[in-house]
Amino acid sequence: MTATSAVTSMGPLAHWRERNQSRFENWRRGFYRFRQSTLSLVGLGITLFIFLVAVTGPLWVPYPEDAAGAVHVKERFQPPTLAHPFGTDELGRDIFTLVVIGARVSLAVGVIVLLSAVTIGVLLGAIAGFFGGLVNEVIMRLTDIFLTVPSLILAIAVAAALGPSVLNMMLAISLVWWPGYCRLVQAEVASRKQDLYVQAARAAGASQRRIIFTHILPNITSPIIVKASLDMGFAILTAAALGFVGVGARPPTPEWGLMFSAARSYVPQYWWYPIFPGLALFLTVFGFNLLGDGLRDVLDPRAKR
Amino acid sequence: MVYYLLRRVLFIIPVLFGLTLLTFTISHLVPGDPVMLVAGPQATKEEIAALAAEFGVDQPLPTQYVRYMAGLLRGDLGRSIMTRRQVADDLRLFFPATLELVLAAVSIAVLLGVPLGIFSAVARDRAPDNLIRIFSLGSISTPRFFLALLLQIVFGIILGILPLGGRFPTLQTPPPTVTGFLTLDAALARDWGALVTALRHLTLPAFALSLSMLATIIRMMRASVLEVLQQDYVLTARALGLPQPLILFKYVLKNAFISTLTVIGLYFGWLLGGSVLVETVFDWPGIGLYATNSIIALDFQPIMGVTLLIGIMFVVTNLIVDLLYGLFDPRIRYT
Repeated sequence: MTATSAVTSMGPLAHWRERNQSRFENWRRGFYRFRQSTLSLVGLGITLFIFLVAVTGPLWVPYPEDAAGAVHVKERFQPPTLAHPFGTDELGRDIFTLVVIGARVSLAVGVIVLLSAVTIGVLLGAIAGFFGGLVNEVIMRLTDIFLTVPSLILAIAVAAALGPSVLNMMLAISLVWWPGYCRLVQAEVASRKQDLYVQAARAAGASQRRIIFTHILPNITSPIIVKASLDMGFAILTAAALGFVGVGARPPTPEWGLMFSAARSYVPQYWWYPIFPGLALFLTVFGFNLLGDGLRDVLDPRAKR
Repeated sequence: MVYYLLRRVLFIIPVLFGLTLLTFTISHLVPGDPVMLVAGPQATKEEIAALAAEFGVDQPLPTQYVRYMAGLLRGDLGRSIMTRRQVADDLRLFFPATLELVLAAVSIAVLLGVPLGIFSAVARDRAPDNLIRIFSLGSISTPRFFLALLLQIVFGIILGILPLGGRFPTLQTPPPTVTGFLTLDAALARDWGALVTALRHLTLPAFALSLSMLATIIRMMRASVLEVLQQDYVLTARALGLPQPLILFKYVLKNAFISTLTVIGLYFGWLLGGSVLVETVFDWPGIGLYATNSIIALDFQPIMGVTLLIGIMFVVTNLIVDLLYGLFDPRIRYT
C-alpha cells in the first residue's frame, strides 16, 4: 500500500526513479569500471567517430556525386593529394568520398543484421527454453543444423542464391546469424524458468507471455548485449567478405568489401585504392571489438580476459 | 566410451540430413534459371527442355530431392551445369589443396600461439597485457583478404622473397600425387627442390589464414594458464621446489590446453570457410576458389557440394576434439 501512496506524493517520474534505484546504481558502477579501461574508451571513441562520419558524411564529403556513380575518366588513378586525400579509383572517383559513404553501408548492414538476428534468435530461444519438450527439440535441432556450417560459407551460399544486392546480403547474414542468439537465450531461459521470481509471477497468475517478456528476458539482457557488441564487428566483416566475393553489394554502391575486390587487381601500382577501404574496414571492426571487449568486462563478470 | 562414440556418430546422421535439406532449399531459392543461362539466348525450346531433363530440373522438387539424396548415398554429388564435370571429382581434385592450407594455418597458430600465450601469462604485467590485447583484437579485426593483400605487397612485391600466388609453378613438374598434399608428396618423392617450392607458395596464404586463430589461441591460452597457475597443485609443486619450466610444461600446459583444443575444433571449420577469401587473393586452387567461381556462374551443384563437405568436416572435427578432451583431462568421462 505504501507504493501507491508514494506514487501520489512523489509523482510518477520520481517514483520510477526510486523503484529503479538499484539498477541505476549498477549502471553507474558499470560505467565506472568501463572508464577504468583505456582500451574500452578508445573503442567507444572509434565507434562514436565512425557513427558520426556515417551520419554526417553526405553533408561534407568533397565529391558527393562520386558516391552515386559519377565517372571522371580524366581523373583516374590520381595518387593521394590535397584535392583527393585518398586518391582516385579507375573511374576517377574520389576514394575519400567513397570510403566515407561506405561507412553508412557497413554500419547499416551491421545494425540491421544484428537487430533481425537478435529478434529471431531471442524469440526462438525464449520459446524453446521456456516451453521445453518437443518445441525445444525442434527449434534446437534446427539451430544445430545452422551452426554446423561455418557462417561465412552459408551466408555466401544464401546470398548467391538470392542474387547480389545489399538487401539480400543483409537477409543472408541475418539468416545465418540468429542461431548463436537462439542457443544463448535458450540456455539462459531454461536455467531461469524455475527461479523463485518466476514461480512468484506464475503464482500471481501472470500469463506465459508476461513471464517470458517482462520477468525473464530483462534479466538476461547482459549476455545478449555483450554478444551483440562483439558480433557487430564480425557482421560488418562478413558483409565485406560477401561484397568481396561478389555476392553482396553491387557497383556503384560504395561498399568497402566490393571496393577492395575491385581495387585488388590494380596493386601495387595504385596501392592507395585498396589500402583505404581496407583500413576503414579494419578501424571500424577494431573499434567495435574493443568496445565489445570492454562491455563484456563490465557486464559479464564471469568472463575472463 | 563405445556407447558414447556410437551415440555421437548416430547423432551426426540427422544433422547431416538436415544439412542436405538446407543446402537443397538454398539452391532452389535461385531466382535466375541456370539452365537458361547455360543454354544461351539462342537456344530453342526443345534444347532448353532437353537440358532441363538432362539435369533433372524438370522434375517436381521432392523428386529432385530424393534423387539428390540417392545420389549422395552413392557418393554422387551431382554434376556442374557449367563444366558438366562430376562435383565429387572436382572436390577430390581441389579439397586436398584447401586441407593442406588449413592444416598449415592451424599448425602455425598452435605452434606460435601456445608458447606466446604461456609467455604472456607468465610475464603478466600491465604493458604486455595491453599489447597482447591490442595485437589479438587487431588481428581478429583485420579482414582476411586485406591481410592477404598486405602480405602479398610486403613479401611478394616490396621484398620479393615469396611468390605472389598459386600453389605450384605451372612450368615445373609437381611431385607424383600420393596424398594430394604437395608438401608431403614432395617429401615422399624425396624431391627437396619441389618441397621448398611448395612450402614457399604455402607460407603467405597459410599465415594470412592463421592470424585470427593465432590471436584467439594466445588469448585463450593466457587466460587458462593464469587460471591453472592459481590452483592448489601448482602451489604444492612450487612448495616442493620444482623448477618453473617443469611446472609450466608438465603440469600447467596439459590442463590449460583444453580450451585451446576447443578453439582448434571451432576454427577448423571457420578456416575452411575463410579459405574462400584467402584462396581468391592468392589464386590457391582449392575448394574456396572453386566455390567462388561457381557462385559467379550461378552453378549450384558445386556450391552445395562445398557447403556439404565443409559441414561434414566441421561435425567430424568437433567429434574428434570432444574425444581428445579425455586425453588431456582424465576427469572427463564419456557416458
